[in-house]
Amino acid sequence: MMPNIPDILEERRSQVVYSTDDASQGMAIPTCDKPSVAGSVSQRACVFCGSRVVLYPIADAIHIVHGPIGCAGFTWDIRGALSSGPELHRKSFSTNLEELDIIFGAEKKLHTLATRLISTYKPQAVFIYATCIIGLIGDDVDRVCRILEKEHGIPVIPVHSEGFKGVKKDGYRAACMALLSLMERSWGSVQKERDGASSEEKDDPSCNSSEALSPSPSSRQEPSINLLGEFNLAGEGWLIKSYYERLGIRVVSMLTGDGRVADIRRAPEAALNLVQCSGSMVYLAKKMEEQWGIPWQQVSFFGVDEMARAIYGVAEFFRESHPELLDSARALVREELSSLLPRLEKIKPALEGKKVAIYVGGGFKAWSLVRILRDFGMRTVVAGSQTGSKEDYEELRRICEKDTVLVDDSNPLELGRFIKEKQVDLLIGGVKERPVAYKMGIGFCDHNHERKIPLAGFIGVYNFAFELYQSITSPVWDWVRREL
Amino acid sequence: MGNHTYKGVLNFEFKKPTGASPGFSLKEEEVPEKSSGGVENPCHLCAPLGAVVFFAGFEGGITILHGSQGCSTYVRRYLISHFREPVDVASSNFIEASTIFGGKDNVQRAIGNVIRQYTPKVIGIATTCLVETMGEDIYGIVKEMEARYPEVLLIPVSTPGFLYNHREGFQLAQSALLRVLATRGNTDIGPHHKTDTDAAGIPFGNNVDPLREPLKGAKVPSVLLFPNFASPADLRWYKRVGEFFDISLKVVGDYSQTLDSGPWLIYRGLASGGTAQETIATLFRADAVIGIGSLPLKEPSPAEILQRYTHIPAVNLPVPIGLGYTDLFMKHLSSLSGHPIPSVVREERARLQDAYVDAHKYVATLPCAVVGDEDLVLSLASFLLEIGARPVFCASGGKTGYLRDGMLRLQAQWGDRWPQNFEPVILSGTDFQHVEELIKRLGVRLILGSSKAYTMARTLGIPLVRCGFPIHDRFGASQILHVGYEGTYNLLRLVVNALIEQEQETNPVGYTYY
Repeated sequence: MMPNIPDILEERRSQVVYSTDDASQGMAIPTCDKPSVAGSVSQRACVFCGSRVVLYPIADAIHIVHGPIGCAGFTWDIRGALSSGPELHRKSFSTNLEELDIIFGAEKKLHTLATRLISTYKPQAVFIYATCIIGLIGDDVDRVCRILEKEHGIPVIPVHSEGFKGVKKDGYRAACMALLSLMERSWGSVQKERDGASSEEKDDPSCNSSEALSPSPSSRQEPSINLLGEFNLAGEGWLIKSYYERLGIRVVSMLTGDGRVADIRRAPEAALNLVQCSGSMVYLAKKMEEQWGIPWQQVSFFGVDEMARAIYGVAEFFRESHPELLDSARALVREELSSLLPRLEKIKPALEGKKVAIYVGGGFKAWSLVRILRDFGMRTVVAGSQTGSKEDYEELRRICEKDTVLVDDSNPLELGRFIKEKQVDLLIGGVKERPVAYKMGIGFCDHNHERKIPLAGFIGVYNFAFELYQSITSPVWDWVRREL
Repeated sequence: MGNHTYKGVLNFEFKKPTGASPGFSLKEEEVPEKSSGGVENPCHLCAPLGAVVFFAGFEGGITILHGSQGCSTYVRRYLISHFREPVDVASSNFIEASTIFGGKDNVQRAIGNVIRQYTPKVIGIATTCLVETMGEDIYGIVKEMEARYPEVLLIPVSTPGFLYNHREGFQLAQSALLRVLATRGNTDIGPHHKTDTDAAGIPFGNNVDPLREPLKGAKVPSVLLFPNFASPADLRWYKRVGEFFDISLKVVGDYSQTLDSGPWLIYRGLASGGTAQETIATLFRADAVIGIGSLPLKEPSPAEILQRYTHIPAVNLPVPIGLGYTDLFMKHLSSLSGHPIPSVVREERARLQDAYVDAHKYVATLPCAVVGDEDLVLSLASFLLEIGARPVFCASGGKTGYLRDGMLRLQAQWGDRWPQNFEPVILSGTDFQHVEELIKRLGVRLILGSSKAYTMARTLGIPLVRCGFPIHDRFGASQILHVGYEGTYNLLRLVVNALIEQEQETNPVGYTYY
């Protein structure tokens, strides 16, 4: 079809959909939730990566990577998740397993390291990530955690994130379980009581009774929320939090942006959970609903409409007890828009009609980006994600033009192919996608961990548009094509 | 050429001393609790990363990491942040079942799919911690695949991250290439047979001519160079130097273009350039081989392997940074080629000598720390000594002994020119947490190291001159020239200007002349 570009691998064909109109052949959305094809050069990471990025922003905990050096080295200070206080999360701790540890086991080494780090840094909790080879050599990480917890009286939580045991999403789940286990230390576990495991909870030294709370109906009536899946990249979490606080809504806990162990343990106090970045946190929201009866709403903080909806949704939720919230919410949105829209109008003409390819980690991000781009008058001609679910792709299909390429678990060659075929002007992705765009001489916007300017919230809409504008209107795209 | 009689590889640096030479002392920090208790902020990365960089240096070269998907993605992301170039790395995509039933199928599918997508000419298949722990026989698995893909050179290499760091993995891949070539039938190295088995258990194989004599007379020799973990600018310098001596100098694993290329406009996955097929086919016909910064690993260095197979002159030289080590490099090329050192090179050298004089007061007795790969640290320390600074602290995540032994030799060479009462602290196999403690204790005022030293440098308020790998927080890492007289001048400029800038910024007067 295209000269010099190899065909899409046979084993991957069902994960690429060129026309969502082709429902007759069962090809309306890409197949998904499959392991990557060997040798396909997937952009995905691993289970460990999923756990690490979700728990990473918890700044007063130490994160020990139990494994050989690579896993810790590659994730050292990897996310721009800001903290207003301690910055323990920006350090890289590893048991640095070597040959003998692998032969004889490394439980003792883990214990020694953790003991030393706890006494040096006085963290509020410890997360211990089990990487690939721990799953093979059979270290009993859970046992080491229990021992450490008894010795030091702080939560020491194993995160089972052996890389080969699935994809990034499975890592999100492992991280959610770790967060849940933190909360259960304060609130007990409905589930475990049901299963008759409550006696063990009482032995938990980090679960002293003065700290243990029970969901109180009074606190639930006060408008209070948790922000799940908000990681405070570039301070975005603070921005979002400020909107809700302006309305008088208490943000009990941000999970896990600018995270503190005590705040996370307090999370079940909240009356409502807002879940952004569905891939990582819906599991936790469901569990919290199950355990402590906290309802949840799925939201996005990207784009004017979505941001406004996320604010109105909360006001609506508390309407019975606090009817004044809706008016305040409207006033807030009006105020924000009055400064945003005129600025946006100035740069929109340069963006209108431009063709964009989106390739991001989660499907949720993909479709929330499609919506914003539409607001800017831009066309999404390629939309894909590493780990989107069936629901995500259904949603993409619903909101994209019918000849938009939808792709699951793509790779650089495929992206290069779509960019050429669709004459894309700009790619939105992360660091791994950047060189595909740049080598092909088109614009790029990083919507991933490394962003340093907030792209969420109302001001984020402008920042995002401006970043697109800066890249798309650059004279370098002309120069890069000029012959000598 | 004439009189060279090479009995073995001339190991410039890593001949193990039998103990500290009398009259000299190096402080070697012993850190027992570190070795048993893990790492805080690592100074090193894992071996597969080095293999990926090496295989990227071949025309149509790509790597498959045999293990779970995360390893290849992490390595890619890390390298992309440094080189700002595409680095496509495949994975055999281990899943849970593979760890139980073995990953042979995965490797075979990965090789097939990589060939279908990239039409590569060289595929490195490097192992990860996971499959090494399982004990996968990567050599056996790949052997079976050779017949199916005769047009592709498949190079298996064992690179367990729990044994080797990124610098060592890079060298292991260099050696693996030679081993594969020596055991494959189609390498152009003559009709002799030899069936010795070496330490790694790989037969020496067919087609090796153990009796080959070095070329004699005026014939222009071809020289192979196995580089250190160098920047693309460094590799370009190595290649250019060959021209000065009118010899064919080939960098084996030449990523100077593949990891530093121009616009593509169509995404092909692999950049053009890299060590050519013809070069690979004639590696064993080279007249001489030079290894740069080769470390003393269990597996012989590439220069040693070639020497054992073909008896050509082989030498392992330190990274040519500073006058002394660059002189050594130039003299060696001059002697190999039979040409005198040309005037263009002498002019560069003279400019550097002059710069040493101009710069000496800015740096005299300045306590410096150097952190990085062992070979790079040694050469940077040598350079700092030459300009009158004091590399009071030399640290590396590596621990092969190269750095320690090199420093001892350096001290011996300097003899009574060695600064009085100067006892550098050498720290091998360390992490940044410990480096930071020592930098504070030793009163260091300038750090030479990678971007990973920034957090520490910021905490301590000490200027950092970025060099080596990785450079994640500055633009243009590929263009940093470290080697040769020009590279040394470049480093000198960075060092002196870092000091001036700090002085100027903090000085209440705000002087405008320095």
